[in-house]
Amino acid sequence: MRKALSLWLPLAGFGLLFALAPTDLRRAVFVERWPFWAGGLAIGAFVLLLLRGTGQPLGVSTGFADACGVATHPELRRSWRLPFIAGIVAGGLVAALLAGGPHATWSAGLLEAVTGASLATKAALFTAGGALLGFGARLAGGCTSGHSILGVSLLAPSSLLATACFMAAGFAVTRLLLGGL
Amino acid sequence: MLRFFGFGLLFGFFLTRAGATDGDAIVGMFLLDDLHLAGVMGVAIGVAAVGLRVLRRAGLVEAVAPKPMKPGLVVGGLLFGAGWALTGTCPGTGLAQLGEGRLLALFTVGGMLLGTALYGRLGAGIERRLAARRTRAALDL
Repeated sequence: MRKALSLWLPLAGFGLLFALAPTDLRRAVFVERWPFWAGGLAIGAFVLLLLRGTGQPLGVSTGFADACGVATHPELRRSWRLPFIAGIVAGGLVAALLAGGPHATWSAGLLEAVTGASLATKAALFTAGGALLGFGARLAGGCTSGHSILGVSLLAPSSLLATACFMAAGFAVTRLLLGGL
Repeated sequence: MLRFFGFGLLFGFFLTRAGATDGDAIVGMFLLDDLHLAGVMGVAIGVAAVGLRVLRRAGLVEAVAPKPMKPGLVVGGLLFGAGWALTGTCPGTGLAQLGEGRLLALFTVGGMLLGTALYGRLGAGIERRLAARRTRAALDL
């Protein structure tokens, strides 16, 4: 398989599916949440497609570091991670458009039990949480993509330990905030 | 560079369709109420693990070097997990949420940039201190 096909084949496949699939199938693929096995299959296959197509191992949080550094380090403008993270935003938009959206929302979902309806409180919680994600990912050397999906699939000890820490803290903080502990 | 944008697009699309960008699914996983995302992650890991071995054996991809054990792995991992729970989001899904119109992701992504920049300032010093403490602990043994 030629390397370029790793990208164009899936893009063309989903394009054709959207254009030609009967209504039920199109709904299942583009509107309904995929069943866990289909979502896992897609994300697992993506790791392989990216590596085969570009030689790059999946990772997102390093892209944030490149974005932060690009102002002072002009050579980072050539980092593949910048178009990659921009593409992830576009992917969310495309998914929303194909599902009939996007439907803009300020909802925090279940976490509104913690924040209430106030936008200021939500902004504070999500900014603080985001800062923990950004700082923690750099300190741990990776995030859910690089450590928990790719690293764990390689059975890398560092990634197994990092993922255990992600999960333990996530579990504890959620219990603390939303009861049960 | 365009192909990396295309790969990002595909990844964001998959994250959204898999339901990984739904903060409630992450909160639900940690409450053990909704194991959908645990299933997504498990299958993704399995597919990647088998696929990487097959592609490697067929000579289609280079071996991927595992990430190193580094000082700060545990502390960083715990901070990351706390942020994961507070936002119901991780770095990849936060970006896709922006595109989807989940507007609180503006704060999550802004916070991630802040935290990353803060690490740029403080990270090296913290890791030096953590490494020194580990060395001292080893010597005490």
